[in-house]
Amino acid sequence: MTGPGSAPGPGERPGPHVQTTSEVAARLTQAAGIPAGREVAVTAALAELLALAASLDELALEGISPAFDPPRWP
Amino acid sequence: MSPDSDPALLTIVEAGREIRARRLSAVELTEAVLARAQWLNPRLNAYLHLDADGALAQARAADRRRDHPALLGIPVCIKDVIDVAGLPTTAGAAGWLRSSQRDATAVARLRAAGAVVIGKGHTNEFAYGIDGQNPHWGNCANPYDPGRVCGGSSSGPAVSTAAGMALAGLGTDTTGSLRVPASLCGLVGIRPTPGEVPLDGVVPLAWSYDTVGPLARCVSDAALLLEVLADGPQADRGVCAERRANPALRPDHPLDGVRLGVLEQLLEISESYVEAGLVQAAKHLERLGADVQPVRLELLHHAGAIHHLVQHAEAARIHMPWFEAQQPRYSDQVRTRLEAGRLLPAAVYLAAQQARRRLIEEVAVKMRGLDAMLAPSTPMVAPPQNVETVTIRGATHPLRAALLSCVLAPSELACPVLSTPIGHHQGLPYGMQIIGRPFSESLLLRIAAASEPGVDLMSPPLPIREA
Repeated sequence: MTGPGSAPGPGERPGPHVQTTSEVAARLTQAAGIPAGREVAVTAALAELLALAASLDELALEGISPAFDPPRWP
Repeated sequence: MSPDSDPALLTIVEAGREIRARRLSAVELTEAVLARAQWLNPRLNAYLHLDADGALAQARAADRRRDHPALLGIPVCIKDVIDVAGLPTTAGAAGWLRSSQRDATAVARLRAAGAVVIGKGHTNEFAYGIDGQNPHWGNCANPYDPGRVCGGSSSGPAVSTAAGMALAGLGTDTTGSLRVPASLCGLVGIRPTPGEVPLDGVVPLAWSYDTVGPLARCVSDAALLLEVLADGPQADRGVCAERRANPALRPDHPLDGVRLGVLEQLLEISESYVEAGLVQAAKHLERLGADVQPVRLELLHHAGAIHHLVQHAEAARIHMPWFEAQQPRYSDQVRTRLEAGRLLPAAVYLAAQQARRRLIEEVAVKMRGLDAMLAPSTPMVAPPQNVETVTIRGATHPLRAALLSCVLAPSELACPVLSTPIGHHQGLPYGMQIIGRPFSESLLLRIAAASEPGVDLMSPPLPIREA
């Protein structure tokens, strides 16, 4: 998931721009053709969700099923 | 009408005893409940549709029955996202309506057991809210203080049950919609194991989490209702048989060998009086033989992210067939959630489902050493109506986030959760969640029944009696 990029340190060349969640949300909202007057609220709500999604990046999720039917407990 | 002799204030167990002994008829009980509804509903707004004629016809039929099913003549309020034949289902929305030709299976089971449907109860718009407030149909008010929220989205069934406008309620719980109003209205509410009670005939919100369950005034009533609701082919699994084999709920039932974990992280985000009430309840259970220990879940702080992502995406998908045409009819709040949910990338939804499995796996491992966990149902008592924020332990939180804070994580776990009253603060009740393994409802009921005598519960809402 995209998240805020860190600023380059001394002597480092700036890397490619990493889009913030707000920028991603704005792009998705614009592409979806959300009616004028709704864009601000939808972009803010979507940015909040994308930030939540970014917070899951710290979990090791490889190999875990994404099925919504939850596993039976042992 | 004297409150003390008002049959509308009886528990199901008490009313059933009176009906079986023919000291009370189903018609008399229904008339008493309808009288209170006529009196109180204009103030509390618990019913969106009252069906007085239909209820009396059902009651007359109940009085003609020769058998004595578990809920014979018991008046119930059905949340208006659940179909009742012959009544409209509005889902608390503006302009959205379906005319139900048949009962949802959960309603059919209540009726088969003799229950009398009084009407359709208030709900947050499309059950997509937690406070019992609705811009289209008006707010549902807390019977302990009509200036305060009652919790939702099963607001109508909760308030009608607490205020004697029904003896029980049927609601849904996706993210706490039974447990939050149960806590704020002083009731017992059960979020059953997903799959335990059928969902057909129910307007869905998010299929990963949706459940149907009862609201009742005491644990014994809740046990009766759940036994009826889960009595079908879908219930023939594992522990359900245990419930049937062990129906007796005794307040002094020993809990020797029962291992309980107090979920510390949820205590820490609750007001100190809620924490004190839960500690007191846990000590009472310890005195009955339970082994009580603190427990922490490493992944608990991810539950909010997982839940919001999954619910937004699934709700958007469910509303997709009519959303384009109906957009202007939604409240801004719900419309924004659905619009944002539609735009979530599929990879995000799938990652959230994977994370949910990680969380469930952590809890399953932790629960190998426990039989159930205890946690607050709400971090505080009912807040005032129409506030946007609340203060908990000196910090300000959005109302919605605060009301969801204790119920959200247990909603992830595909397990049963029971909320039962454990105390009151400034005349307002609050509750405790008992979280068990899948299909361990019978154990949760036992623990809740054992906790009842240890709790200084309030009588039915005095402000209502004096109204």
